[in-house]
Amino acid sequence: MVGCLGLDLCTVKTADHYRHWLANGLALLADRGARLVLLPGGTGLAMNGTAGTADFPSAVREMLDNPDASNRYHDLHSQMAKRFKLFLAAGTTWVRQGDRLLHIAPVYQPDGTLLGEQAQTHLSRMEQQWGWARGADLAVWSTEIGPIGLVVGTDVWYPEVSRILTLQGAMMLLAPAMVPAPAGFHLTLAGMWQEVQQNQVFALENWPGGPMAGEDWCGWSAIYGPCEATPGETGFVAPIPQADGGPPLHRNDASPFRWGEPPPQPLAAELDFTVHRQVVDSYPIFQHLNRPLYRRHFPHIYQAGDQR
Amino acid sequence: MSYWNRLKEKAFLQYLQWKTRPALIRRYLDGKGIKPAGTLRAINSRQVRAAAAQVELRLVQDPLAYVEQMYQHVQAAVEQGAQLVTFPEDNATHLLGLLPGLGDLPPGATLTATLNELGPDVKVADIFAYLTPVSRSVYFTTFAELARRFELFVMAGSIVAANDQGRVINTAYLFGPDGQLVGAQEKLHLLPLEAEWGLVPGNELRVCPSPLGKLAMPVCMDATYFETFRLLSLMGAEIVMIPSADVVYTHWKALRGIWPRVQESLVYGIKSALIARDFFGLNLAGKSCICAPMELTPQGDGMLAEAQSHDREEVVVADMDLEALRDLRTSSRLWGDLNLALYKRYLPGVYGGPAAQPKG
Repeated sequence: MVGCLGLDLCTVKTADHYRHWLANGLALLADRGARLVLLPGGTGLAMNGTAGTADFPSAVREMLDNPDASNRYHDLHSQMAKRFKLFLAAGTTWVRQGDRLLHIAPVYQPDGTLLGEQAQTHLSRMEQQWGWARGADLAVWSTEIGPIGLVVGTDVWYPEVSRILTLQGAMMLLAPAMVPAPAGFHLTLAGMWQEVQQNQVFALENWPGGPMAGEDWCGWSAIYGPCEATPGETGFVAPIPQADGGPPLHRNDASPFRWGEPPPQPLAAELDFTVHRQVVDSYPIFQHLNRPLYRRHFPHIYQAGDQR
Repeated sequence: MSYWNRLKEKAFLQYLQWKTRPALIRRYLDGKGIKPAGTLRAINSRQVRAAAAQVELRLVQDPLAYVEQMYQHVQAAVEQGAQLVTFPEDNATHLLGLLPGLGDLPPGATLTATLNELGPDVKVADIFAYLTPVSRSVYFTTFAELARRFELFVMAGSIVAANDQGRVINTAYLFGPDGQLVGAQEKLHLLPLEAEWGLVPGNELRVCPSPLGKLAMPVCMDATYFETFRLLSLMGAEIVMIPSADVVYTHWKALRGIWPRVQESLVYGIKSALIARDFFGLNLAGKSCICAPMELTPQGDGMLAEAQSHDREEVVVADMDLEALRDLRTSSRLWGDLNLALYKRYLPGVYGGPAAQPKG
């Protein structure tokens, strides 16, 4: 059992709000048997209570200038992972490494220790303007649920990232991000949904929703799997999209989820790795990678393309 | 095989070649009174009009039935002003019907069961290899003549045929308005079924410069792998045509191919789908479409035009703005970043050998 905890920035505005939201949500998910929970991107800012800051780069700077912010972030998420005895992918925060500003996603283990941190490796145009730096590593970590990899922020739209992680053995991808509103549902189909399909893995995706640091953010939480391993062969473990391919639009008894807003309840699902194995065995996509072709062109061709 | 059987086989092949001779096809097309479409006289890179044919696969015992079917699609595309017409994967498989008896099989008969009757060592690839001199001749003559007579670019879809070394390969061909071959692309990623059939993958990717833009035509399953489109985009391709043949159509499964590739690699994409009802027990379905990066589509959904049905013949037409595409490649808010250090560090390893062990 895995879960996503949706973050509604209309209601979570201070450090206290954040602590309560986290404790209550994790309690619900732990009760349901969750062994791994993904928080959305931007938790470092949301927890720091900098939600009201006029602009996003200033909010990040303000958080980094606060000498206690990083320790408090680590302590809280470490304690929560330990208290609820689960792997906690704690969303994202920012760190300075020398003169480099990195957007990172930490993961805590059920004993409260840090499993690792994954830095975002590709940047949108705006992130480049904000002075963020690109990470240089892509790590896969063993957990008792299976090997996991993190696809941070904008990396979800760069297929190299998910491919490198899955070819290194990741069976589950965790994708915390912040996406400015309004954003179309197709953005997620062009991102994590399709990465799951072309790499035949499961993935959790989580974006916070509402106003923060001078921006309005598009909320979204989802759990994806290969089409053949999901209800109705939609590629969604949860929530279930409309039959005609549209996003979940209306909250009702069957589905409390609505595109563009964080889910009001934690999202949880059981991942069936037995069915997943059958899907991969019956259609082994990686078996037909054309490795000689790739080896001949990658990575040199990126340099040629860059100079085009 | 005995000398007598080899002689019979050779004689039959010669009969088939005579029955499908190019002069017959040319004479048939002469009778159509085809006039040049005129759509290439003034090319505007802000409005390149393409048509994607959705074609039914049906066995033909008369090669002219095949020519007629392809002609009808090009004619329909020309009537809508197309400058480039594309066709599906396996677009010469219709010609298997020239083999005696194949057209008389009962409904639901599978290719495997049919082959079993021919002997334990016969593979599907052997059938395609045997028919290659005939199928290549009909396919090349038909599409070279249609491209020349209508004065259009025609991507003829792919044909499964043996090459000079006897390797059976699924290859797509592009013909120019003078009827000459502009380029060829071998399928690079096989379906598991094709591998079982004895086909082999190609190992080169090509981009064809043309007055309509830089064109490429990887085949069907190649669109499942981001690497294909990433390489093509970095090689300069602007319009990527996918001849396709899928066994099932659902909205979600169809979304796994060309559409995400177009988004992440910033190209225009054209998919031509092959459809079939009980073709050796296989039903083929798909919606031909023309897609674009989301920023270049009116609804923001990455789709310029899509077939109305997934099981009927159609021609789908849309205009592509190559100048807007070139602008987008340098201005996209989300796509277009590179992390060369990361690729140099990881890609040789992940593509070169077994998967690394996870940490922890």
